[in-house]
Amino acid sequence: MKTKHITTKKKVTSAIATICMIIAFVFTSQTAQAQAVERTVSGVVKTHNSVVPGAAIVLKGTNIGVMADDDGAFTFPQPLKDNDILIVSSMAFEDMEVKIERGTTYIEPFLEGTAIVIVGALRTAPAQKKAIPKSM
Amino acid sequence: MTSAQRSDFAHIEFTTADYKASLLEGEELYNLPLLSHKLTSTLTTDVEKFRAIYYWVTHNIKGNDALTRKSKKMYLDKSYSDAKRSVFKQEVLTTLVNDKETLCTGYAYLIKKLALLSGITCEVINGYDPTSTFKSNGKLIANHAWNSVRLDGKWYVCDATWSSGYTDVKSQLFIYDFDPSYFLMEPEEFLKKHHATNEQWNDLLVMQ
Repeated sequence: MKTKHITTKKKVTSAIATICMIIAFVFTSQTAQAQAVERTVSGVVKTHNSVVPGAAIVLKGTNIGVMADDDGAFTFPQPLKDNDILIVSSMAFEDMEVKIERGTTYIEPFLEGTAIVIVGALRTAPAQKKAIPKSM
Repeated sequence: MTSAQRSDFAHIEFTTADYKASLLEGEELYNLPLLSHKLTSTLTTDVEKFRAIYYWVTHNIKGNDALTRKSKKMYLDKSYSDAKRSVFKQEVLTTLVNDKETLCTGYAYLIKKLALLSGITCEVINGYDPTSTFKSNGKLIANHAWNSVRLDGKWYVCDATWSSGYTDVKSQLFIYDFDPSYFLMEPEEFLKKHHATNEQWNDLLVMQ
């Protein structure tokens, strides 16, 4: 009697453990699949209190990219997967890299204005240059 | 004490890098990552990649004398507010992108951005010609900008503004006239006319 009771309990525990493992496996593999799956990524390039129209978004190491529209919005023209890196760039801002991860399909890269200081009271030529073109 | 200069790369021909850059003449500045990729992706050494960038900038970006004069005016006039300087900065950057014309900061900034995009460490250095007489409050102040670039573990210098050409005084037109001597110039020679406001950059060149 006692032996039969223990065996049943053992069977139920074993069954529950197996079901949990299956659920965990399915969940993990679905997440892994989502990450490995290539999908369309879109977004908006932003900065302080504004967007960055015309920002360039390029897949690092390639010549594949797109320009953000007047609202800073873009849809990347090639499907992306996790660990792909996008470079987001605009002349008046510091360029940044955005890593695609966690299966995301939407990003909002935030660019900081460039810290460059304008100097330049010096004429554009060194002292020894002639003032008339060489060809004359 | 060893100088970091172009002869460090005497074993490398720049003709390939220059040729690749010349194939991209006329390219626009709306997509810098793409431009940097086009200029450098088929070159194998950092020095060649930087050369391609330098060659392209000095052959495609014109010096804008009006901006230089406006900048000088702003320098000398203390009444120019921060807001006005900020507007001027935007004007400089917009003119660079739309017209491919700029003053020295623009040249140096563009070189830096293209270099960083191809994985090369590069900085904009502000400074002055120690032999000039351009002073503010009796001090020589920064009135020029160039680049320091890190190649094979050493810092080198270059001046894209001076390499690109000059402004004809009479017509005030910019004339392209490539002078390669300012590319990775020997530091002792460079320092005669280029003194960085931040002394660390000057010290670094002679102490490497």
